[in-house]
Amino acid sequence: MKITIILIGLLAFALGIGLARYYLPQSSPGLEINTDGYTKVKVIEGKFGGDFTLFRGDKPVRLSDFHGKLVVMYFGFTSCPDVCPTTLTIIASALKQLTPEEIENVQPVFISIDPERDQGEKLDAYAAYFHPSFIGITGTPEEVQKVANQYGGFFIKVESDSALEYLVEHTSKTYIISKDGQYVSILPHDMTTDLALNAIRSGL
Amino acid sequence: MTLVNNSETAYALTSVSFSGASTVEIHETSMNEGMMRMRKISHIDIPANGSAELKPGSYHIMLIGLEREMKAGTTETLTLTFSDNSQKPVEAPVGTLSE
Repeated sequence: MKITIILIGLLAFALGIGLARYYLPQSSPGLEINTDGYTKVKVIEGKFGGDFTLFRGDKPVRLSDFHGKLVVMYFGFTSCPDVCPTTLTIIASALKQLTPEEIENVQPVFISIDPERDQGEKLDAYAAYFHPSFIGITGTPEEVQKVANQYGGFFIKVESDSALEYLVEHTSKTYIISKDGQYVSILPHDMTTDLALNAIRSGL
Repeated sequence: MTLVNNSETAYALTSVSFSGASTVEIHETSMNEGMMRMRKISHIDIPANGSAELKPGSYHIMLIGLEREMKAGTTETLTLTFSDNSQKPVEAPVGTLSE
């Protein structure tokens, strides 16, 4: 009798695993593949990732304009003292290790989450300072917030007694969008140059 | 930059001055549940027989409103003021971000 109970238990357990395998991929927001230190997520229009339009100066820039290229994307702001320049430097160091053929297939994009202070040439020049292939884009606060949310990022403006008047708290992940626009690799805030380089090369 | 206190008395870094910026502030960056947060702080404690470190992702000095261009490879002098009103100049090498 005990054996039967155990067997039923085992069957229920096995059935549970089977059902979980069957159902989980459908219920999760995207297919997540854990690779070396970063996550790769399938784009699901309306739920995660996908196209957007922001502005480089007054010219609209769509993510889909870069179809066929690997897009390396980071949200930050130019008065960010610490994590933004550090992360942009890591991205730039990885880009500098690419061959000229490889870099032609990569579009680095810096998205400013502080459009009140970061606009036009100032923003573009800041981005290009790290690597000449970088472009800087932004939009209205609402537009930028929407794009950040689309990619699972968020930020909040915080009033401060600093001479800067306000500071922006934000997530600090790097997003690499596959050449076909179907997958997004999410790199952690404390990524190394090697991790960034591996993630870029594996998408080329 | 590490501030070392070899005495039996606790001190604090209370302000920093620099001739080439309109404002100098002490800030702290921290990572909190995935959010990078920065705030202005009034001082950095340097415990008795202890030390305090200024480094990326932690305490740092913000030079706001730079009044001249700085060149990598040169040094600039900042003056640190402590809680006992003593002052100490420090030579800060100007670096590039790609290091």
